[in-house]
Amino acid sequence: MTDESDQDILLMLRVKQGDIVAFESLVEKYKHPVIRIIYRTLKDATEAEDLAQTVFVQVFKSAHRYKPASKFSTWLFTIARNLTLNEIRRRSRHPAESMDAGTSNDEESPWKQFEDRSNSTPDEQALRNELEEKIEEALSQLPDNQRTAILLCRNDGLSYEDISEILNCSVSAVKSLIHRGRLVLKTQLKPYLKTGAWTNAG
Amino acid sequence: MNKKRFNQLLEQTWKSNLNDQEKDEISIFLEGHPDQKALWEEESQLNQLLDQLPEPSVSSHFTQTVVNIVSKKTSAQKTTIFELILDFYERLTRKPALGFALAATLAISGIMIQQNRRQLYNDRMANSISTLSGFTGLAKPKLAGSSSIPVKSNPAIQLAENNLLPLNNPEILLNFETIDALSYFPTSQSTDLDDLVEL
Repeated sequence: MTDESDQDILLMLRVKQGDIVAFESLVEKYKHPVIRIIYRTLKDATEAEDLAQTVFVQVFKSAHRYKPASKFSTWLFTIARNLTLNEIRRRSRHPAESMDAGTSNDEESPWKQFEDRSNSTPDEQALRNELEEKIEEALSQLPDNQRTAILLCRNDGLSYEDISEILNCSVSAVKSLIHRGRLVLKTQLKPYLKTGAWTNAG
Repeated sequence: MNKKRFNQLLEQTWKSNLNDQEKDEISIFLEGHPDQKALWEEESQLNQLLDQLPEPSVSSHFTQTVVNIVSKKTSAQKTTIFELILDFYERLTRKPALGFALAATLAISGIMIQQNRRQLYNDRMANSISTLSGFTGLAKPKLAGSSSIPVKSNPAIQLAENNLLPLNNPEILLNFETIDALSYFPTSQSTDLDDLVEL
């Protein structure tokens, strides 16, 4: 294991003893990846943050079950994924409660963080916004395990082995999920990928 | 560089960007395999798109909120007996051997306590009867059906049988032990006799 994961394990062992400071360090370190992976599934920044809070509280409550043999990030993302799936199931049972979902897609949403693109022309900005919407839409249409595998791999840099643990499948299945997911994304985003115009927009 | 290495590097880009040396390898390969160029560009562009996805912002007080929730839960934790029992039960379920040992200890302790209580009861009964036997010159009480009771093994009871006071003697009522002991002596056959039989 890497030094970084060793450090996480040490922090987690302290959390097991009830060390709040160690817990705070872990929350600070992993809040962005956890919120991001939940947000990509729920498509609601507020709910993603709320659920991420629940994830970290669950981490603290379940600290006694944590075994140093596994990477902390793997364990954390497994909890995040399980709680996200529970939330999706809850929403499907109570669709009325998720009516506010999607409001974060509004351009006025205060939760969405954009890069500073003050140097971009309005046309470039418009193209970029359109692309972001398109790729988010394409991602959201992927099956959950394909989307999760792609994002954990690309955005969080997790190994296939770690992802296989989180998704509870084999390493070859993870590669297959990523491959199929990327094929779908490429098909849906083909017009944009072909022009390559967006690559110069930023 | 062969096709296998190309696919290997292509797969590597799913996770992270290539270093300069690997990029050079790809450039050389694509010069000799222009049919793979479109695939490579699509993959690269998709990676860039994924990297440029906007991040959902996180409120500045996120960490503090989580820590506060956890701190509250910690302080509130184990404040009720019910939660303590639940916590204890949870620990036991994780360690069945410990649970079994605890159950066995509890069972043995229960049996020992029960035996001790019975012994105390017997001793108390014997003492009470001895106290009664201290009164002299009183008629032997009639214990209906007592001949059928196998109590002869207890000398205290035998002694009491010979010297018991009549129940209408007011002096007896001054001694609680005596009253207590008398209450166990039936004047007729009843379920209380079962207790004596066990003595």
